[in-house]
Amino acid sequence: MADVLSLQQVSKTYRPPGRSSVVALDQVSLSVPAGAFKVVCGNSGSGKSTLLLSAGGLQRPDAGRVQVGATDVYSLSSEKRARFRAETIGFVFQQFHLIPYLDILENVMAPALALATDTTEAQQRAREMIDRLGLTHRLDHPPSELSIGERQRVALARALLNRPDLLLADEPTGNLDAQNGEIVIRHLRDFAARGGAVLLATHDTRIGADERYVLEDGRLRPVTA
Amino acid sequence: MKPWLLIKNEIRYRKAGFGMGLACVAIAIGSFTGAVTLLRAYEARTEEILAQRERETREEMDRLENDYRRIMRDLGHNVMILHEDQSRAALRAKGHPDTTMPEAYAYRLGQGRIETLNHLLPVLQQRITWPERELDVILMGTPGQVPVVHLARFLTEDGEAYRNPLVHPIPEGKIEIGHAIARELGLRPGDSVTLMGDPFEVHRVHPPQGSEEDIMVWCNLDVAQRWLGREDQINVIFALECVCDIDGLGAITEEVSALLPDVQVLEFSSRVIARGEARQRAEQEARRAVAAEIDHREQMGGELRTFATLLVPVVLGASGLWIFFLILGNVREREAEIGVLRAIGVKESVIAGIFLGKSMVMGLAGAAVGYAIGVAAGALGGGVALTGSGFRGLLDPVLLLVAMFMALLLCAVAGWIPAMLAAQRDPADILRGD
Repeated sequence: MADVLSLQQVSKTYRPPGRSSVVALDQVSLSVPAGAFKVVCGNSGSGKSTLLLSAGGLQRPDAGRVQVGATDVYSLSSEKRARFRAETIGFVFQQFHLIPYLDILENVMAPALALATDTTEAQQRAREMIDRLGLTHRLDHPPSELSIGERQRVALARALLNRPDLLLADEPTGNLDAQNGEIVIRHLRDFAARGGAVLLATHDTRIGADERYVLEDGRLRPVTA
Repeated sequence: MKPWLLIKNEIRYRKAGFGMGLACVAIAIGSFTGAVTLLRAYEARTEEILAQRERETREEMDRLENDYRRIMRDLGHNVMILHEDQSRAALRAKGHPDTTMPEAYAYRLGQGRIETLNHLLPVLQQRITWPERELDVILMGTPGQVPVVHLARFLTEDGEAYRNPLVHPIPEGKIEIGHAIARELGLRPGDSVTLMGDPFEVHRVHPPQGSEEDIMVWCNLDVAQRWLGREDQINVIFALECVCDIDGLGAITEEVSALLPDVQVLEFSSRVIARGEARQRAEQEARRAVAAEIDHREQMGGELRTFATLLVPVVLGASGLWIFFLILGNVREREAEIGVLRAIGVKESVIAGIFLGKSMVMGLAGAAVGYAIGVAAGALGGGVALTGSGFRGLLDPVLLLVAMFMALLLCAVAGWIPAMLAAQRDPADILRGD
């Protein structure tokens, strides 16, 4: 299988003014082929979010190369990278980051804003996603009226709207109970099963994966079963 | 999905913040439109007041002029036109002029465009003894008043005679006599008399004047000319000085001399002159009062303009700053939203557009509210009622367009930096916080 995501010797160090430097990523190399579901574990502050943000084209690393498909992500201009991200990558965050003044359907349709997709088509796809995630009855509700688990499913639907190749999930079950966490993981696996690539960052070591890594002191090492 | 949906829903979601911004724009635009409207209303009110004062003054002057005209008419003629060779000493000694001039002079004056005289009365006048009664009288031969043809408002429609003459023509075969003569001779209107061998009927007895008029006998000019052997001759033209220029003996002389080079003009009857001067003083006083009102209101208008010139930029500046901080606060409030929008690939320009778009909506709505409040407040401040046509005259579509433009400019300037900050916000900084 071809790699959807490929990180080669990626390093990132934070240098906050007046404080000592923090090495978040130290020559990290990782590849996620299509259909793979990979998990990166690590404690809080271990650099998991930095790894996902760098992989998603949102944070330029100090060194190394990030490739999604055949594209060197950081060789693109900011505007082109934004469009590339919209077309290729989906994000799921621990805090969901739903837009509070949009209803569920509109929240799921938000990525259409990036691609200026035809509204009718986007709406059709959004409805399908919402249906697939079991939220049809919540279509016109604002996020504040949803349970935590439902909110994360909405966030997942939003991430999937533009049919990305790669899904980056940062602690997607961090705020969920076991049952809702299981639902979200099941949907991520489904996405991978349909040929997508998933890279999930978590501190929950119970989540099963095709391959598991541990990020510690900026260095990534595989966990053998 | 369109950015407009985000703008619209966010405004609805954060009503208080949007309301504060709208109020801020409304205050800025309201102060501008209010100042402009106040000045316009003030000017309109000033024009209205001054027009009313002018109207009142004109009415008062018309009333005074009519009074004066009536007084003048009641008091009779006050100007004499004599031949230039007429000695004033002889005039005083005899009580009447003794140098004649052609009767045609009166008609020449009447045909000329004189402005300073009216009610021309050519007279051949001489002291005689009424032979049949052995009584000294002053004979006054006159054809009646000669019309000044261009003063048509005083004349009959055919322009041949005065509508209200001071002296009527003496009908053929009749005479009019002064009060002293009537008393002396026991005559009354309708009595038959003989004068200089000719029979006459007493047409009218003049009321007592306490002057030489009381011993005058009025007859037709032709008759007097025949009796005195002065065919086509007169020795005085009486006239009434026009009310338009009471100082104008010089002006009268100038006008008359242009038509009749060999005459002199004398003015008499100081009562008439005094009344005329009083009238002129009243008119001058009224005009001075109107001029003072104009000065006062212009000064007030100037102070208002200065105040508005200082106030409007200050309010606009303060409002701009307020809007800047409001939008900046909104950017901070929406950091997570900005982060996620960037993460899902929304371009920086779209994000900036969302914030600027909201700012523009705030500007347009604030401009509409501010315009309405400003115009209403300005009109009330300027003394114009909101229900009258005066208020409708203050509703200026150009001012509305200017207000809209100013509001958009204000919001664009105030919202630009926060919008750029939002667009350039590093999503990693926001999302890493997870």
